[in-house]
Amino acid sequence: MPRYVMIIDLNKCTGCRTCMVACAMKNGLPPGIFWTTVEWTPIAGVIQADRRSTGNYPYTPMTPVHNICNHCDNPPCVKVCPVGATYKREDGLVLIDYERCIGCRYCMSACPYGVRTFLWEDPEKTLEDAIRRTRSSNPYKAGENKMAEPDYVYGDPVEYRDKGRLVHKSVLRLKRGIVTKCTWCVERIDKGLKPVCVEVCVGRARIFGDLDDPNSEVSQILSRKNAVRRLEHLGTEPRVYYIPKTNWPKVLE
Amino acid sequence: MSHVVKMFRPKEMIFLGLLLILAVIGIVAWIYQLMQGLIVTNMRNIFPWGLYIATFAFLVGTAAGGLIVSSSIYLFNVRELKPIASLASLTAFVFVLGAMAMVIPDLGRPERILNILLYPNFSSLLVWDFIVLTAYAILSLAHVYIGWRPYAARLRQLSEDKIAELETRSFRWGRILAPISLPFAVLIHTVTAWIFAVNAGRPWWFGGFLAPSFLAAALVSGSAVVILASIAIYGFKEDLRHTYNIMMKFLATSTAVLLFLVYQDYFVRWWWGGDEGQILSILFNRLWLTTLIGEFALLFTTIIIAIKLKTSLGAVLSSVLALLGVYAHRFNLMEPSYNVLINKILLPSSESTIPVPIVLGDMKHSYWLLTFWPYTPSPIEIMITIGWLSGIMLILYVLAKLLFSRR
Repeated sequence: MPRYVMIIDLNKCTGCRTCMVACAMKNGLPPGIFWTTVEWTPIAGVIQADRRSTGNYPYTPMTPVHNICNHCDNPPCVKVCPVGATYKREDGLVLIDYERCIGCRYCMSACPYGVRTFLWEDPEKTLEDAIRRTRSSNPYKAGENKMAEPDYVYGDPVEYRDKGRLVHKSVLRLKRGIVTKCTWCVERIDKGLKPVCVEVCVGRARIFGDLDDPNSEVSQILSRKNAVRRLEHLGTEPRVYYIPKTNWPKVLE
Repeated sequence: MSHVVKMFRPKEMIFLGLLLILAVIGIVAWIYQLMQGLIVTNMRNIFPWGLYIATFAFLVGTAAGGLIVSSSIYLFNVRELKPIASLASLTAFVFVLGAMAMVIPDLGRPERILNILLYPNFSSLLVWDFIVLTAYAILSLAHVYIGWRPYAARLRQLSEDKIAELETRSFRWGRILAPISLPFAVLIHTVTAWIFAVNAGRPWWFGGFLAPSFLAAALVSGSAVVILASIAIYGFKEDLRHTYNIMMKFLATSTAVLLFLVYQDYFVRWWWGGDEGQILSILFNRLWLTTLIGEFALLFTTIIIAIKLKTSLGAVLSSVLALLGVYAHRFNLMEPSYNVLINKILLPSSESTIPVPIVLGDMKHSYWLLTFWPYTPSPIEIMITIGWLSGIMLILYVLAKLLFSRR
């Protein structure tokens, strides 16, 4: 059984947020919901008033702050779920059975990383509202883009079941009242592919692989570089490793 | 049916009518929430539990009355509480069911609630809370029944011998049940506290402090509910004066214990500072109304009134203030927990840390990635909560009147 881990190299991340957008496109996330986030965070004291940073690349005084489900080995969300809708697979993925979740949000209270997101209203409605708002403020008429299909909706249209449990479906096709989160693209992993955010990363800052295979890229990197995991003292045993930014401008050192 | 209606005086009818209207408003608000989704609340991803769960914790506490009274009678031999024992068990029964009902509007998919029975995950304390609450409801119902038997016999004007026999039997059963229900009564508060206290990711909740403080808060609100219910049903009669005195003494003592527990905890957190200090700053700045006025001032006044003013006014006033104070205390359960994020990154320049922001979960606001959510309950949340509380009071009042109105 493989032991999947993800490495996020903050020295390589440019903060372009392609991973966020690709994830939203593939998983059909409505506006306002992201399963992974990247915030390009300035460091106090070095930033000028107009929030523009100084310094020569790659020695910048800003750091990208990523957030993504850690697929913990000791996941509090799995322990607290009263109905067992959240569960951990043998290869390490923490998944949610969308058909069993009762929407009590205990898992969101338990998760110290804040990666879970609840569907507070029907995702389809959120999208419609957002489109309506954009149209009213946009001088260009909607539908002018002749390339787009009029009823095109983004998001992977195929749903995926893991041993009969619905663990992947375009969120735009889900109804409100359940909790969703990053699945590490379970349907791609089961086909031998990598998660979408890893595939699209322009700087190859996100690396995904099997830690049990000593020749895999993740094993090689983790044996060479210092990597940290978030909130290790809690004992959640996260599977996402961060390589902290080391390229700081000279003034910071 | 008409004799049932005749039991209520016109003033009572107005009061019950008002409760009914509020309950109906609450149900209408819930239907609106079911149609729109939980977007109509002010809870968001960063703040997933709000007024509903705070009220749930409060209602579990108010169910403590049955325990206090019946265990005092049968285990500590405080005979003076016997006249209000059945009523106290009835408050426990109604409030424990009310607490369970309070969780329903909080669920995103209430129609799937049976999944808790179909696929229970026994490592989740929510499941264990469901189990102990159900057990406590059954035990309270048993207490109500054994207390009601001799009462009903007297109403039907059975012979004195028969009534005396039923009363002995009722006492015997009470003494058998009390040692069983006492651990369950302690457990409902402990397990409810554990729902929160097991989360190491939330410094405001985590640890062994929460369960004792829940128990103290339950003793305060439980005794206050019993005092109010007894005054509403039996009045502040001369032959009950001693009973009320004992209950008010109990109320004052447990309020003092609660305040002590809460403030010794504040001191420890304030001394350490850091995240713990941030909790204190949220409590005393953003939540000053519930912390200083609600929790401290009201509970402190409760102690003074319950000790000094041993009249019907004093009993009502101290109980109402105690309930408001404990409710404010319960409201404080949420915010310092969610708005202190421990997932942080260390910045090299200043040794300072910044929290990793969380996706808000809606598009109503221009910002969507944030570390702090200024939660105040939305009008719908308030309407549903008031509706549920009114419904519980209505059911309790009518049941108490029907079952135990004459002694």
